[in-house]
Amino acid sequence: MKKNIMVSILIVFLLILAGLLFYAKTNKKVPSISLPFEETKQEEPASQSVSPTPILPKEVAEIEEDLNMIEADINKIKEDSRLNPPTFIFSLGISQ
Amino acid sequence: MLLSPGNAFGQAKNSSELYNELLSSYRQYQSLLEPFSSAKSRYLAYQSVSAQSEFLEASKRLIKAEIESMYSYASFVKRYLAEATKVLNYDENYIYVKLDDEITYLNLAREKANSVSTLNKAESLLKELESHYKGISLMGYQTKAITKIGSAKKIFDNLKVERGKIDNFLSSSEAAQNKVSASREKLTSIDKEVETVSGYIKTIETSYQGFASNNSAAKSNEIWETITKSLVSMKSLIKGYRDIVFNFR
Repeated sequence: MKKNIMVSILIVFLLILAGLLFYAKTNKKVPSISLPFEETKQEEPASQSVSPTPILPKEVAEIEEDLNMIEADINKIKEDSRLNPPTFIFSLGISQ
Repeated sequence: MLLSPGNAFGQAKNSSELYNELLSSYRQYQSLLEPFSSAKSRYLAYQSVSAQSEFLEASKRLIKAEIESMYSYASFVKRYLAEATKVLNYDENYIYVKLDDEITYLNLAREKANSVSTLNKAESLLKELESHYKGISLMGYQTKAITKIGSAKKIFDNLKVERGKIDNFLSSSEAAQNKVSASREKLTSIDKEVETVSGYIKTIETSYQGFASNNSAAKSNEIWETITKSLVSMKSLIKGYRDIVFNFR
């Protein structure tokens, strides 16, 4: 009886061992196919959830842009000294 | 109308090119001042025929260089005005026409300088040039003022448009009522600055009417100072408008 139990345990042990070996082998032997192009990573779809910053109203964005342009125009206005007339002499300086 | 080599082929030079020509012709004029002074000193010291002849030649060279520099200056101002007029839609034809007249006179003066045969004739040509140059200088200062006045007015007009846009936005905004009310209050307070700018523009225009050949440099400075003040006020308007709009971000 004891002998039979020992043999059964051994058989079960061997079956488990064989099963483990088979599982390990099949997982290892997955054929690797080299792709002719770079594998693109599947990007996660853009989150459809609400952005943490509120959406800028169109009018506000437009006004802000206009104000920036107007300010740039102001900064461009500089005194143009090139228009100052050069000086000349208008007398020979010999009349007594 | 113009007989200068620059216009002979109808190829208009831009204001920067004409300014470089002015620099070069004025440098040439300045280089002749020293020989002119030396010849004058010799003439005054010796009163000899040869010293007089030498002085006459030096005077003629100087007068010719003076005419070339004036010609370059008048051409530069005319072109500058034309370029600014195109941008600002400014209608200042009378300055343009008067500058053309002066350029025509300077072409004539070139011939006159060639035919100067005595020191007296040289002296009288210089007096004639002085009278014309007063007019040319005045137009130079007027052009300087008018182009900046035009720019300041254009900017102010654009700011008024923005004020209107803000007003419309506040009327149609669905934002909280207290936010809109506070913005309206701020807009009304900023309107005082709009009046200040309007006042500056009026002052500038009145100053411009008082331009004359005997006060052109002073008027030009006065106008520029007021333009600067108006620009400071306009920057403060922009700051106020930004503050209002920022609330609705």
